[in-house]
This record gives sequence, C-alpha cells and structure tokens, in this order.
Amino acid sequence: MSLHNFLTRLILLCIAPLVILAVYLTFAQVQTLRADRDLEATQRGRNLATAIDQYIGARVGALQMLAASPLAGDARRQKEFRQEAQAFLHNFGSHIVVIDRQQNTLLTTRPGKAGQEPALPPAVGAAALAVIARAAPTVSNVYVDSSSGETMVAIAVPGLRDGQAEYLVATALPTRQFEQQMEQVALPPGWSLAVLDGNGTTIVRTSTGAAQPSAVDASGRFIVNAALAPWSVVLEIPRTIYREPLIRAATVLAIALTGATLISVLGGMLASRQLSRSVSSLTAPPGTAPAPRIVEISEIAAAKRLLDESALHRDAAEAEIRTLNVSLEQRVAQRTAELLATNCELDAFAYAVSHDLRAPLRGMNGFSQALLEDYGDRLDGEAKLYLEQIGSASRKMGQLIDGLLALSRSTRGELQRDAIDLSAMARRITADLASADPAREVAVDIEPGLLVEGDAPMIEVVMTNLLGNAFKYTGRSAAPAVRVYAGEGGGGGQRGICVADNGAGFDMAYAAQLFEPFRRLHRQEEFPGIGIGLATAQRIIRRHGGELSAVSAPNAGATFWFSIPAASRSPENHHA
Amino acid sequence: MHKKNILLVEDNPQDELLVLRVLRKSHLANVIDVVRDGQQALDYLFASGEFAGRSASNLPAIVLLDISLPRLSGLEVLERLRSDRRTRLLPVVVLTSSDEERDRVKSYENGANSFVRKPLDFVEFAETVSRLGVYWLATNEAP
Repeated sequence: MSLHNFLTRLILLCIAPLVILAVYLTFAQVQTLRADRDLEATQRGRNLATAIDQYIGARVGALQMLAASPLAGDARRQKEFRQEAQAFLHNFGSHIVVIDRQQNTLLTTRPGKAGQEPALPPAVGAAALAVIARAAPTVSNVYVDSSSGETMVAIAVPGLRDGQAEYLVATALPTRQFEQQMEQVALPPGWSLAVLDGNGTTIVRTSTGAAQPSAVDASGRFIVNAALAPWSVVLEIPRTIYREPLIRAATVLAIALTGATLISVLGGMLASRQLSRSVSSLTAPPGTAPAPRIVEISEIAAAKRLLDESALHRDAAEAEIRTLNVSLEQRVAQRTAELLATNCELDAFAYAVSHDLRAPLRGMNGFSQALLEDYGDRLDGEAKLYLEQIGSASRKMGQLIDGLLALSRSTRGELQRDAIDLSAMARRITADLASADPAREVAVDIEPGLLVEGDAPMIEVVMTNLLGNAFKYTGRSAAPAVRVYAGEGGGGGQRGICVADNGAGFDMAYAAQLFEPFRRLHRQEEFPGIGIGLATAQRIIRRHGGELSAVSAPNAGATFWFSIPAASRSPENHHA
Repeated sequence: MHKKNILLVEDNPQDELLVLRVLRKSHLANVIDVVRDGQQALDYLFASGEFAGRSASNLPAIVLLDISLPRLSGLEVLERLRSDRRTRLLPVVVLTSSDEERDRVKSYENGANSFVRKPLDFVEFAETVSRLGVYWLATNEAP
C-alpha cells in the first residue's frame, strides 16, 4: 500500500465518525425545532381556550348569582326578578330566560307575552336536560336562532332548592362574540384556528379560513379542550408550512456538513499527496529534479538532507575504494610483473645451468677417464685413485645439478589438475624400484582406490621421492616393508596420503631440516643421497595447496604424510 | 659415390675432443667433419661461405647437432635445414647437455630424427656416441 493510499484511508476513517455525529446532531436539531413549534402551537390554542373559558365563566358566574336570588322562581316577585335580569342584560347584552324542569318558560327578558315563547331549540333543550341531571352549569352546542337567524350558543345554570335544580336560568350568545377573542390571538401566516362544539360543529373560525383538510397532517393539528364548555380549540398548520422551516434547517445543516466534509477530505488528500511526494523524494535517485512542494515538511526536509549527506559520504567512500582498488590493482600488476620477471630470470638461469654447467663436468669426467684408459699402464695406484676421485666428484656434481633443476622445475610451469589413481601410480613406481635392485626383498602394501587430483607428472615426482626414500632407508632393515594408505596426519588430524616404512627413521629433533635443500640427516656412507628429493616434494605439495610432514623415531621407521585435494572425478587415464 | 660421413656441430672443444676420441676408438674417426657454430654448419651443408668449394650434393649420412651454439642455435639450424628442399630429409640427431623438456619438444617439432642427451659419465657417453655412429652410418638406410 502506498503512503498516499494509507493516509487517504486514515483521513476517511477519521472523518466518518464526525459525519455520523453531524447527521445525528442535525436530526436532533430538527426534532428540537419541531418540538418548540408544537409547544408554541399548543400554547396558542390553550390561550384561546382560556380566553373562551373566561368569557363564558363571567356569564356563568353572573347567571349563578341571578339563579341564587330568592326572587327567582317566586312567581309573586316576578317583577323584581325581571329588574335584576334586566341588569344582567345590561351588563352582558344577552337576554335571560328562566325555565322550569318541564322546560316551560317562566320568565324572559325578551319583549313579548309570557306563554307565547317559541319552543326551545334542541341544542338548548339538551343543555337544559344536562343542567337538571347534573345540577351544574352547562354550555350548549351551536344552534341557529329562529327569530334572528344568528348562530348561537346557550348557557344554563340551575336554580337550586335543597340541592335540586328547581328551575334553570339560561342565556344565549351569538357565536360572533367569540370572533373578538380569536382576533386577539396573533397567528403566524398560514396557521388557522377554529373552535368546535361537542358535535364537532364549527362555532367560530379564523377569517383566513381553514386550509384544505388534505393539506394538513395529523402532526400539524393541535387540539385543546375548553374547561367550561364541551368545546375544543383546534389549531392547524398546513403540511407545507409545518415542514418548511424543518426542511430549511435540515438543508442548511446538510449543505454545511457536506461542505465541511468535502473540505476536510480535499484538505486531507492534498496534505497526504504532499507528504507522500515529500517522502517519495527521499527515495528518488539522486540527481533527479525534486518534486515541486508547496509546503516543506521540516522533518522530511531534515531526513532528505541527512540522506543527501550520507549519499555524499557514501559516494566519497566509494570513490576512495575505487581509487584504492585501482592502486591495489596497479600494485598487484607491478608485483606480478616483478614476479614474472624473477621467474623468467630463474627460468633462464635454470636453462643455462642445464646446458652450460654440465659440459665442463663432462670434460672433467671424460678426460680423467680417458687418462685412465689411455695411460693407465703408466700411472701408479695413487694416481689412478685420484683420477677416480675426479670422476666421482664430477658425477656427484652432476647429480646435484639434476636435483637443483628438478627443484627449480617443481616451482615453475602451469599446474594441471588431473584425476590421478595414486594406488596405480605407487604400484608402478614400487615395481620399478624393485626391479632396479632385484636382490632386495621389500614387502609392499598399497591401499587400492586412492584417488587424488593434481598435476600427474609432479605428483609422480613426489611419490617417486617418497617411495625411493622408503626403499633406500629400509636398506638395513631385517624385513623391509613399505606401506601406502589413506590416513590422518599433519597435526590437525586431516585426511591425507601416508607413505610409511620400517627403515632407519630419524630423530624428530631434526625434522625441521628434513625439507631444506641439500640438508641430510644421514651420512653419505650410511645412505647416499644429495638431499634434494624431500625439498622438491614439499614444494610440489604446497603448490597443490597441501602440506607434507613426517613422523619418525630413530630405527623405528618413518611415516610421510601429505594432504592433497581428493579427486572430484575418476581418472580417465591412469598411468599404470 | 662419395663415402658417407658424419658432421659434428659442436662449439665445446672438450666435447669435440671426447666425441672424436670415441669415434676413433670405434674406427669411425676418418669419416667425421667438425664445424663449431650454427652458421658454419649451414655453410658446410649448403656449400656456401667458407665451404663454397664443397659440393652441395655431398651431404653427410648424419648430423650430430648441439643446441647451444654461437650465432645460430641448433634449433634454428634445424629449422633452416627442414625448410630447404636439399636438406629436408637429412637425418639430424640433436645431441645436447640439456634435459629441458622444451628443448626436446622443440627439436622434434623442428624435425629432428632423434634427441639424445649427452650423458655426464664418460663411459656412458662413449657408449652412446659409438652406438649413434654405428647406427646412422651402418644400420640406417639413407632417405
């Protein structure tokens, strides 16, 4: 995942709870708005209901006072009562009627003859029955007055005698009087108010008129019941008006929320892009133009500086290493050239020795021999002995030259890597050695299957030297025996090849001299030799990356051990 | 028909003396000619220079050629002989003190018929030279 993707996800993850919270707050805010407005609407309805109650209450109180008067119901004092009723009419502007339990009009402030009263409208009759039944004031439903044609309501209170409604005092009010109450209630535009009676008939309604019933939801209708009358006040808010402020608030909040979210996301993305560009510039290969950055982030800039510095150091170190390498290569080349020159000189020297040192020796040997042959009869014994010594010395020197050349050759020339059957090679060499001195009986034991890798002619020189020595130094043993086998040696217990004999051996105190050229541990008359074979063998083994060592004790035989790489393949051509 | 002889190319007077002694003892001394460097050998064989009076067709039965010679080395002489039509098949024995492998290989590459190392011991030396003389003069059929 790229850094940019990671940061983008991080930003979205951080913003998601905020968005959820904001949506919740918006919803809660709209709910609060709605609850406030519902409360306000209910309050306004209640105010109207209270005003109506007060209006009716005042008349009920006056009627009750009138009904409680001892003049009421007393036919003899009807005149006095009428005067009192006239006072009521004066105060409230409504006529008074006194009715008995059988709904016969006893008294009325209306002009006209008694006994000629029109029948009570059904609504008033129902109210009168309720008053008698409950012995309590009652307000009737709406009815239309037959004489005036006005919409009216009646209020009736009982005239109590011994707790029973003996008669009732009633008055009627035109419903238009309530319109004044309604006008006092201030309504927001679009809202409407209505007062309904117990039958649901509209007593009075705001002049703006009711909205279409279909345009009002249940949630937009608020109903408050009046206390004294069986009426209810209904406040209606059309759906469109009811919802409009809620939708407006929700819209504003939604837009603000979306805007804030977008700004956060965009800002976050921008910041993440800059950060990822800054970080990318750290891994940009040196030399490329840095990405344009509007904002430089100080930590990243510091990291960049650090990287640049370490890159500079690294470049400097690499340059130094290159310089060192070049100078090292030059030195190696120089040393190699010097070594090659030395080798060439050694080569030329060995070549010259090979040719030029032998010729004088041949002369010495040849002429001393010729002298013996041609003039032997004229020489005495001592002269002949001297001439023989000249011959012997020249032969010895010839051997030394041969040995030196062999030693020199062991460190020259390309080293081949042949697979060698060492067992076969040892058998061949011991056979040659045995046939060179048929008088001797040497027991030879060679482990079969000794396979090594090396330069076959050089390894043959090694084996010839080691086996030659084994044959030579067992010359005085009672039962000479020579063994070739794979074994451990060299101090480290490393596997290698052992050539062991039961011959004269040597004192380990002189072991270090064993491999020095021309150093011998035995006198010439004991075991003749020139002391060059082991030095040559050791150089050859070392050139093969191995080691040659010996373990011995005087008259206890000697074991020569050398390590050499084992064959990685079978010998294709063994020299048997 | 000329009598077949031996040409010895040898710059070491002691070796020359010893070779001559051996051949004399083997009764071959009268058939030997000696030259002392490579150029002389070529002059002798091609009848040029100081040997202009010789007949170029009178070739020896065998040339005993040393390698380390003044002026032209034995190997160079051999190369010249093999590149010339007249001496292309002339039997040449390289007779040298050296036992260097490169000398031996180079000698055969340049067309030597034989490579013989001069033994250091005089007895062996005498025997070797005597055998060579007898073989190449008496046994071997000339090309």
